[in-house]
Amino acid sequence: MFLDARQLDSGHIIEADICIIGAGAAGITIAREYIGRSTKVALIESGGLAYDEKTQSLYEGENVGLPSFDLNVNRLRYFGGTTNHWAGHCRPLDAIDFEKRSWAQHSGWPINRSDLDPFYVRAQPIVGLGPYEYENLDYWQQKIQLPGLELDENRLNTVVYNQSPPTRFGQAYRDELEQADNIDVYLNANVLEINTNETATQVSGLKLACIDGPGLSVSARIFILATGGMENARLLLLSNQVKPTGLGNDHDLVGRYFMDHLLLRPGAEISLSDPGVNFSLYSSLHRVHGSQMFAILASPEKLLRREKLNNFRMHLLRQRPRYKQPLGRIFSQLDGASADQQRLDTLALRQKNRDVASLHLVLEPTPNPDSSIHLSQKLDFFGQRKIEVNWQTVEQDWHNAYRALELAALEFGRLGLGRAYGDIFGSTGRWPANLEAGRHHCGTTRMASDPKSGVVDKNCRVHSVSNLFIAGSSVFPTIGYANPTLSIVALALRLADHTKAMLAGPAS
Amino acid sequence: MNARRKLLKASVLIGGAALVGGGFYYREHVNDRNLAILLASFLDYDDLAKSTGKRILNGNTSLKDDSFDLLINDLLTSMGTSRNKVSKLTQASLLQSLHERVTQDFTEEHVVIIDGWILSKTEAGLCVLAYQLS
Repeated sequence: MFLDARQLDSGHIIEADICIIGAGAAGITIAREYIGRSTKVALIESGGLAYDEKTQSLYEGENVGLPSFDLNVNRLRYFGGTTNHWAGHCRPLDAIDFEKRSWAQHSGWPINRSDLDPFYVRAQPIVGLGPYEYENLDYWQQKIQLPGLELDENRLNTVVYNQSPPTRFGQAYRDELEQADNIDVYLNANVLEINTNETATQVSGLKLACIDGPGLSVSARIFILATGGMENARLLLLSNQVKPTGLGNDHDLVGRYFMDHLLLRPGAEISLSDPGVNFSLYSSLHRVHGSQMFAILASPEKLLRREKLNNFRMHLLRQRPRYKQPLGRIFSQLDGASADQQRLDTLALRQKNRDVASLHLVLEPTPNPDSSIHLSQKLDFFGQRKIEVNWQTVEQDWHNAYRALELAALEFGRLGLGRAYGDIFGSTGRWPANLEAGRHHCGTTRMASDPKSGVVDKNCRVHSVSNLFIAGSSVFPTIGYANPTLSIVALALRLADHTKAMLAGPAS
Repeated sequence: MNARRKLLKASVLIGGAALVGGGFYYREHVNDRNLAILLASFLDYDDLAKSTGKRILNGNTSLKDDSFDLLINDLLTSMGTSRNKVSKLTQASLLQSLHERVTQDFTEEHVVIIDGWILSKTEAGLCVLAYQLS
C-alpha cells in the first residue's frame, strides 16, 4: 500500500517489523524481498512519486574539494531514487577489488567476491538484464560477430559490460509494492533523526517530518538506512542526541573515505592510422537475448599486481577530437595502412570523425580518510544541517590515471592503430581540467570487521548499534572500476537474507 | 600525396633507382641525405611530419639537431641493418623493418612525449629527419 505521510495525523506512530529508509535501488530491492511474507515492512521515502523542487532542495550542499556535480543534481529524492536518472551501466566488482592490496591504502573488504557471487546472479534480472555472462566474452562475440582488439593481455583486456534499459526502480516495482499486503510505502516522509536508547546501542525509532505536513515517528525492530552514499552519513551525523559526534561514529569514521570514480572523458584520443578499423564491439550497444552489452578496455589482474595499480577501465568511443593536429595520419604507412590513405582523406569521413577514437578513463580511487562528507553550518528547510563534500584524491591516483592511459597509448601504437594524445601526457602530477566525478558516492560508512576501521560489519550492521543496518554504496570500502548499482542491489539482497534470518529468530 | 606517389618521388630523388621484380633497389653509394629522403618518404602529410619533427627537436627529448648522422645510424641499427646493407633492401622490406621497429618501440616503451602525444622513438626520429630535410 502507498500512503501519503502528509495525510496522517500529527504524532502518528508508524509501526513495523522492519523499517527501510529510502526507496532507491537498495531500499526497493530489500522491500521486494519481503513481499508475501508475514513481516510488516515500512518503506519511508522523502519524496513522492515524481520530482518535486522543494523536496529535492533538501539535497542541497556544497562542494569544497575537487570540482564535482551539484549535490542536488547528481542525486534524485523521490520514489525510485537516483535510478530515476541512472545510465544503466552494470558489471560486478572484480575479485581483486575485495582484497587488501599492499599498494592501496585502506583497501580490503571483510567479505570477498565469492560471498557476493550468488547475489550478483540474483541482482541481474532485477536491474533488467539477461544472461549473467560477464566473464565470457566469447558468449557475446559468437552472437554479435564483432572482433575485439588483439591486446597484450599483460597490459589491457577486453571485458564485457552490460547496459540496463535502464530500469527505473520506482516505475518497475511500484505496482508490486503497492499490491503487497505486508508492505506500506510512506511517501513525502523525511527522516530527521534516528533515535536510540540511552547508550546509543539500539535504535528505538525515527523522527519524521513532512513538508507542509505533520510530524510523525516510526517504531520497528530493525532499521535499514538506504538513502544513498552521502545521505546515509548525513543522517548518522545528524542523529547526535546521545552521542554528540553522531550515531555509529565512535571512531570518527562516518563521512570519511568519501570516494567517487575518477573520470577523464576523454583521457586520451587516438588519431587513427586507418579509419576503417572496426571497434564497434566497444563503441556501440549490442542486443543479445534481452540484454544489451558493449565491451570495454580493462586492467588485467596481473597488471594490477605487477605494477601496483588501482583498477581501471576505458570506454572506446567515436568523438570529435580535442587535438588540433592528427599525428596518427603521419604514420599510416608505418602502420601498414597506406592503402587506406585515400579513404582517410575523404571529407565525409572527416566530418564524421571517423579517424579519431576517444578513450574515456574510469579509475578506482584510493580510499582516503581526508576525503569526506561533514555537516556544514547551513540549514535546510527543516533546520537540519546541510552537508559539505570535500572530495580529495591522493598522489597515487594521478599516477594510476597516467599509467592506465599510457598503457592504452602503447597498445594502440603497438597494434598499428594510431597514436595517442592526452592532456595528462607530459604533465607532472596535475589533473587535467576535464577531471570529473563519476557521481558514484561511496565509502562514507565503510564496511570492516574492526569497528576502528569501519562503520558497519560484514553484514552491514552498524558496529555499535544492534538493530541498525546500512544498505547502499556508502558501505563500499573500495569501489573498483565498475558502476556501483549492480553491487548495491547484490548487497541489498544479501542484507535482506540476513535480516530475514534475524527476524525469523527470537525477538530481541 | 598518396603512398605510391611518395615512393616514386623518393626513388627519383635518390637517382639511379631501378625497378626490379616489383621492388626498388638502390645504388650502393646512397648518401645520408638521399637515405634520409628515402626514410622520410615513409611518412605521410609532409608539413605535419616536419612541424612535428621541429617540435620534437625543440622539446625535451633525447633527439637533438646535431645528431643527423647518428639518427640515421640509430634508425638503421635498430632495424638490424647498416648503410652498406640498406642499399640491398627493397622499399617494401625497408618499410617492413621500420614497421617492426615501431612495433617494438611500443612494446618496449621506447617512446617520446611531444605536446601530449606519445610517439615511438623511431617514428619521432623520422619526423626529425623530415624536418632537417626541409
